[in-house]
Amino acid sequence: MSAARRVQQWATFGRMWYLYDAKWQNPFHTANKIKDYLTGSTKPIYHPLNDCGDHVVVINSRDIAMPGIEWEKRVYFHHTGYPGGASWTLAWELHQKDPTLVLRKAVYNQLSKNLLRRGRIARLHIFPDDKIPDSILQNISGQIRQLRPVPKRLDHYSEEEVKNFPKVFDWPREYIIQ
Amino acid sequence: MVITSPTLFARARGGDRFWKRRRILSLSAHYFGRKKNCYSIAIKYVNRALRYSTIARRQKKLDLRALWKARITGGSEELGTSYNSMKYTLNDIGIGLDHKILQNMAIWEPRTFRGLALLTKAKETEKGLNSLDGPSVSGVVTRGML
Repeated sequence: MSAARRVQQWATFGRMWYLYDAKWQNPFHTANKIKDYLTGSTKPIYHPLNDCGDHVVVINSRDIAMPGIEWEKRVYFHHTGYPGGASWTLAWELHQKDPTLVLRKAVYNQLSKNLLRRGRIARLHIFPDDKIPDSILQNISGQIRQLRPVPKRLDHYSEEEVKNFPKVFDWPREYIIQ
Repeated sequence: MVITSPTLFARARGGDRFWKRRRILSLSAHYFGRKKNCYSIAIKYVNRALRYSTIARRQKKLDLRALWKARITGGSEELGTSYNSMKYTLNDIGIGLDHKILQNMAIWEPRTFRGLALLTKAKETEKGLNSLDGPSVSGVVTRGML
């Protein structure tokens, strides 16, 4: 094999490390997208036994946004294996205890239920805020686009921007609002 | 006189028990334990294996087709189109490449595959599927109202 071909083969089979910002994103839609990267379905060399999955590093998992009243209504079941060891935890309680678990369980449940699942979930690294260890930060080689646009918070607009923003209507200066 | 009829009543029967068992045991030669050596145990597993191989003839075609579809999806999503877009548009244009050739091209002929993806996008833009402006109409006077 020529040197160029060898480089191309190494590049084709190289494992990518993707970064994903989960701020204000739906965890279930996110999980659907992340699972494609973990399994390697985004590559034309995909095969389930090919071990072509990539790493995904998720940041800001504390700020995920579940739809509707899911935070209050969704329950996570856990059994310790011992008698009387069943527990049902509400989503908001679980998020308080461990802010990475909601997204981790969403991805885990989206992966195919076979022996490859454990290996694939091991390649998912979730962090509650944007502090990432240096060893992982050095590996990152790509980024996954966010699914929902993140609007700017109204209190983050500067006074000048607010003043210069185009207005359709404003009260006259002498008008008294009671 | 020569008595010929009784001699004709003699039949050559049986005697191939050894050869029948050998036929089965040759198929179970790579099994584990008594399944490979003992006929009455091996016959069950060999029959199962033969049944599976008959069913798998159809299943292999389905499995490979699903794999090809997954690979074409992966390759086309990398290039900004989708599997459905490519299949529909290539059919529309008259390019009759099948799943097997497309997935081979996605892996081994990436530049050709990229050409097909760009062709798909160009054809879709022509139809107006890639923008909110609608199909491009030539020879229609709208006076800026559309």
